[in-house]
Amino acid sequence: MELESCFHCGLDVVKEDQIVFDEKKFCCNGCKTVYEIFSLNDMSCYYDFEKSPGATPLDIKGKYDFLENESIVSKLLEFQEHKTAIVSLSIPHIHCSSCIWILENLHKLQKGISTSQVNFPEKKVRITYNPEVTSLKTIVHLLSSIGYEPYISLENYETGKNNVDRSLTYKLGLAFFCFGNIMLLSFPEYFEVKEFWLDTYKPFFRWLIFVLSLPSFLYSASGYYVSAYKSIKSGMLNIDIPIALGIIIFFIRSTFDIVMDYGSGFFDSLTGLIFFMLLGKMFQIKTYSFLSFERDFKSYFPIAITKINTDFSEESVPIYDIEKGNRLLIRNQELIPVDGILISDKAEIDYSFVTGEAIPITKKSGDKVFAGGKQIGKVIEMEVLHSVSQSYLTQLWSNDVFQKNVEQKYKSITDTISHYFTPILLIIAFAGFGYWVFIDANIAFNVFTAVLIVACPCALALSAPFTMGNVLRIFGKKKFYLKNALVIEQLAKVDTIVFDKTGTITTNKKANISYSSPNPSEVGESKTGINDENRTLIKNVLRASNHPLSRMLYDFLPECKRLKINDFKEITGKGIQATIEGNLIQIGSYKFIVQNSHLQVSAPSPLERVGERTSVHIKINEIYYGKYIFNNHYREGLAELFEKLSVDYKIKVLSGDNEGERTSLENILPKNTELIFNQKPEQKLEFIKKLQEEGRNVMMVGDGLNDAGALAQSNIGISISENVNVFSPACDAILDANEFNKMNYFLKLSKKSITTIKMSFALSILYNIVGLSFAITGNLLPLVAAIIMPLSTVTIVSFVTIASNFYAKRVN
Amino acid sequence: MRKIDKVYLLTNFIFMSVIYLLISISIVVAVFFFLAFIRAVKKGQYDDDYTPSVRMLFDDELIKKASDDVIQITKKNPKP
Repeated sequence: MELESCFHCGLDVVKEDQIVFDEKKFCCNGCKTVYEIFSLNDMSCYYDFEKSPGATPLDIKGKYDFLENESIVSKLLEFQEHKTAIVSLSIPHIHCSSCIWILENLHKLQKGISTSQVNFPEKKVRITYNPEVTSLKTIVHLLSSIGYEPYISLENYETGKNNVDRSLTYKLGLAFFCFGNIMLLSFPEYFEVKEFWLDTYKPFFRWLIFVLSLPSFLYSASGYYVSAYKSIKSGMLNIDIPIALGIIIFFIRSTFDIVMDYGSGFFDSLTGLIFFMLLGKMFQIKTYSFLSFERDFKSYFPIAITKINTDFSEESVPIYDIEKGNRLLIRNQELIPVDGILISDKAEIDYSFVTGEAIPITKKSGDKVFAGGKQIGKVIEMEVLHSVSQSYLTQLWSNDVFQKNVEQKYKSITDTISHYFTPILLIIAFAGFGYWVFIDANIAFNVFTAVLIVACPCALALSAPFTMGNVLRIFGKKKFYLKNALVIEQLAKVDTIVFDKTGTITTNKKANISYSSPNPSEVGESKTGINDENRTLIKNVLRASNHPLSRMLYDFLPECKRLKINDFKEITGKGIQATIEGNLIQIGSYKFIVQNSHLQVSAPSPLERVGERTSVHIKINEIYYGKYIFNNHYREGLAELFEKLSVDYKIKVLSGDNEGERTSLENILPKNTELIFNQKPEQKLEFIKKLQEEGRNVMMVGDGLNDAGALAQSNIGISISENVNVFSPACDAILDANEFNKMNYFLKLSKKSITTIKMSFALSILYNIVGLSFAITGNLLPLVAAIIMPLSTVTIVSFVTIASNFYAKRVN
Repeated sequence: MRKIDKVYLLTNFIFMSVIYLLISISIVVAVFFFLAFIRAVKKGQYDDDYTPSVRMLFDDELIKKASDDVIQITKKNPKP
């Protein structure tokens, strides 16, 4: 079978299936339609920037009906006046330059849109439109029809103006401005040639420098004063204390120098120091703006849902307005936002967001359905039991761990060092002062200030940010995204790793399917089991079904030719049936296939049921052909990874499931792995808490919303994500699921980066000793300070960058 | 002697004002650029440092038709 890729979306095209339009091949009608829209509007250059950039548009009928509700729309808009409205929509599909081009030319496709601007790193488009001409619903439909479906969730409900904190950029810019100008103005004094005009205009230069240093001293460095004050108040000696002390002493001494005409002061070094330290701060901040680490249930839940009124009319209402006793209508692929009771006959609910379990659960009328599940199949009705905030899943977020401010939770390595550094520094300064005060009070004052100036731990404060910043980028390239640089330190301290089972160490992308033929002694006619011909029939029937099991089995079966199917029927909770060329094919559950027929197949014993998770039974022309068994598919390299990890870490596996998998897990995992089953979300959280009380540094690896509590409680929570753009619960780091087996590498590299920091600490203390020897003898000239300071900065920065890159390559 | 003194003082005077002038000009220019930088940050130019670099490479690909020539899409997309 020859495979070609679709002109629009780049997916493989099956020869029999392809649609040829305008001499181009398309995989489906959707892709062809998008191409048609673009070519009709002379926008086919969309395909020039990037090869097959598109996505297949999905069916969205009825999904965005809530956008007709004025009050919901006004919550989504950033700005609204009678003729202009601005909306920011998040579009996960944005991935290339073609996307930017087409989205910024939306006004060519739809009247009423005046401008649209893409923010690529955030994967957002900001659309300005005229609400009198077009509506938000039309725009969303347009976007969906060209394959750029926006992602609207409850999180968008309170958009408003989000204030970006740009103060660091301002501070850095100001510090650079002051540093540069002061450097130029202090140049003449470096070469203190006894020249008449230099002597005459010294005061002018000096006071100009003084004025220029003020904004840097007062504004740019203000963060250090605040932090130092806070740390003194809380009794924790962090690195900002000696920095703030150094800066203030720097300034007072320099001012004193020029007032008394002793010298030109150290304003150049002072502003340089502030600039370099802010630069380090800036470097450390590497944000992945398209990811969010603070997600709670709000980003999973829809913004509105269809409510059935007492007079049977349907209405879109915001989720927050749902009350107990309301009747809701849930369509195919819609999320159930609240706990409730199923009214419709039967429903299949996919809880994969919550538990990571891919196989849907069948519910009957009267059963309780929990919030967070996705409804698959026909429209269902349900009655609300709890409002959103009181639902089972959302209640997890009222736990204390979600309220904590995480930033001050741990002490960083730099702070630990400064715990010793600060007192020693003060002792040296006072000792120097004590020694010189008996010889010359003036020199004593000079020595005292010079010690504090020189020892100002600029290099010390820079080694951590630059190392962490660099490692953060290296991790990011390998698809391991950290929330901030502090996470690296936590990663290096971990001694216990707790894994969630379903969705974390198993994957639902690929299933491990095995075929089991019926016992020949009981079913006489089908001794040979399943043959190629039957397989072709099965695959063709499966093609029509959207049930996750059908999709998995479909992908599992080998490619075959297409046949025309008739009388396709999908029976919720039971199975599917269809006829092909006169053959009746039935695929489904044990009950559906075996019990309703005259066939005698022994029911699976309870033991079997535990061992096998799910199976699909096959019947063709009333002949039973056995079943396909779906086993959990463990991620590639799992056994190897656990083997490596178990050397240095204690490993535990938590699961919300029953013990059915225990034996197979014990076979794969190292002997000392602890397996705990039947864990509810709160129990997972408690489990982590208990480990921490035993003094362990716990890393939690999870994926679903039910792990959210444990992820927040653990010292470091990593969420595994199949698609990093879309779903992941709140955590400290997001790891692309394909890189799961590299976890050991990341842990090792984080340890090495701490080693790098320690080495550069040693280096910077060496600089301090050299500088101190100048200071303590009373010989610190402005020129010496101006050389030592940038020199140490440059060597430290280059050392840590080279070292961390070296380790990134070496560690294996 | 007196003449030399006079010349010296005169050059000195000119030199002085030149220094004042040049320094103040340089500071004014620097402040001007600094304010331009502040304005750029405030307008959000540094918030997205990737998209503009792509956007500037687009030519005006749509010269063939005027932009008011809009074709409404009425067709609903069939399910793929």
